[in-house]
Amino acid sequence: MFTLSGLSGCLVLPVPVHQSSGASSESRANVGANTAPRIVPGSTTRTDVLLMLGEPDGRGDDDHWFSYRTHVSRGGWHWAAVWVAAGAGGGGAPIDDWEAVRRLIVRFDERGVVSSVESAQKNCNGCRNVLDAAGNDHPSQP
Amino acid sequence: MVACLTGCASTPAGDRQLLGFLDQQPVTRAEVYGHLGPSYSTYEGVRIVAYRIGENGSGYYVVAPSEKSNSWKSVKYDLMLLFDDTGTLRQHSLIAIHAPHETP
Repeated sequence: MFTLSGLSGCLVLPVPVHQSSGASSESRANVGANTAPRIVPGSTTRTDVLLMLGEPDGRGDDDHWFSYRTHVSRGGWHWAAVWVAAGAGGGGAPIDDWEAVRRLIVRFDERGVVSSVESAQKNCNGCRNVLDAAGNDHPSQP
Repeated sequence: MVACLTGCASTPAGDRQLLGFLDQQPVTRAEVYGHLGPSYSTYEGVRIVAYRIGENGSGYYVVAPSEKSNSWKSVKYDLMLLFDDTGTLRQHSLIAIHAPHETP
């Protein structure tokens, strides 16, 4: 049997943790993987998008693009590193990505008709600046 | 006592019939403003206006535009209203912001 008595170091163990999936309470949840196919370039209008999805989380100058961002917990089993230090307590941190961000960017032409729809998803932890609504990380700025 | 009063003051009064007036056509822009106050945001000029609707134990309430934030936490619905050139409501959509979605 392994004990910590007499030891001056710490013990680090990877442990599996189960979590349920779901959107962050601060995030919208009404934009998912099946949203993009409902928006048809050349046909769907800016009005249609607003009535379908609501206010965008990001909007470009003159509303020539909208972005919709969802931040969710990834369901299932994930790995965490748990450590215990003799006489100093312990803690834990995720090893793999426990969360995900999905962003939908919808661009409009001068007539207010959708010209393109772009969907991206990234797994992450914390996710504060991942696929942000303003598109600051977009290769060509929406 | 002061803490209790402060808590009570920060909780908006809810109304289960807040949006009932939308079913009584025709509805004008002035009537919308009269019932719901200033909009949270506007699009295509003022052709489309948005209100954020919260819900508490006593009913629905309008999330004030002065409380603008990036968080949808206190919002249950996003109400989108489309007006025509005469200022008459043509279409509205009540979007459940926290509706279930498929898992990633």
